Amino acid sequence: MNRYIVVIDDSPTIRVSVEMALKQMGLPIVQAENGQDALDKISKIKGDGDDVAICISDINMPVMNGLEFIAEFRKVDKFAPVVVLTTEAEKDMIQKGKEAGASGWIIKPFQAEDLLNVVKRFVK
Amino acid sequence: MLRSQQNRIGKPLYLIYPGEHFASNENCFIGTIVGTCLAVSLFDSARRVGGLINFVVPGTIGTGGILEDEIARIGILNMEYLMADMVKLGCNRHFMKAKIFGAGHVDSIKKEQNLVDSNILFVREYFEVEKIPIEKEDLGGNFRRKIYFSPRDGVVYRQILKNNSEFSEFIQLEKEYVESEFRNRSRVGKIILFD
Repeated sequence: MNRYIVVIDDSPTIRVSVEMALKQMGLPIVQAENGQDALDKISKIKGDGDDVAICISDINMPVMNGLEFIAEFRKVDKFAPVVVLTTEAEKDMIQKGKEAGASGWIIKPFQAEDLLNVVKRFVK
Repeated sequence: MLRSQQNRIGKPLYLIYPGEHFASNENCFIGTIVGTCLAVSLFDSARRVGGLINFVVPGTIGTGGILEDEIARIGILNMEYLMADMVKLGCNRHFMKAKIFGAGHVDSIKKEQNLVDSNILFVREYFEVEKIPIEKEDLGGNFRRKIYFSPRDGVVYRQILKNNSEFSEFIQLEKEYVESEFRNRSRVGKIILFD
């Protein structure tokens, strides 16, 4: 069974940067450009008998935003960690993320090493 | 940012200063002045929403390109701030087009030899990776530019400024902003873990 890292951001620049930062985890990485795209890809992953190791998600995205994604994802997976990676720094928004089921919140800019350490903490 | 209602344009004018950005779906103009810095306008033709940013990438980007560069991440962050505000107004990157201005070789700011060229490299590569078409670019030269952007239709009016004394406030603000970006260029965000 494969365990996937799912990277969700509408910016290709951020998706590629995150993928490069997490390459040394040695896990397959799937990119999604919004929350709905991620749910579709996660459904396929689980349908193939594989699993999600961790999701790294932006908040402000078209179609389905990060908070909506986390709430929907929690209906199909209660345990896989979701770490938010965003420019949003407002306390209210961070609290909403926590209530929706996020495991952590990283305010950009991020350093590749720091992101990797956070992911290592959650993914054994 | 300064909002002025009484002006000869006859529409609200939002004047953004170096390091600032603004996005709107209002029938207004967003204006700025750039010397060394970049002014980037984004327009989502499907939503008829636009935004303008005035920023600098504080340093020289290495040969590995923007995805592997520590300095470039500051430029990416600035673009993310504008993009995030536009997404909040319903925009989608798939419908965005960019216009880019500035990166002038002006006398008052000489932090690094290749600063201006590196900023030009950054903005072109950024939009290439983002797959956002650049509709117009007016970069380089040894002058400043005044930019007026209409966020409802994406139109940009650009004026070349030869007389620096008229815009001394902006020149000083840009100098202070660029210096502060150089001082803080290794800044990082914050990590909060809930578990």
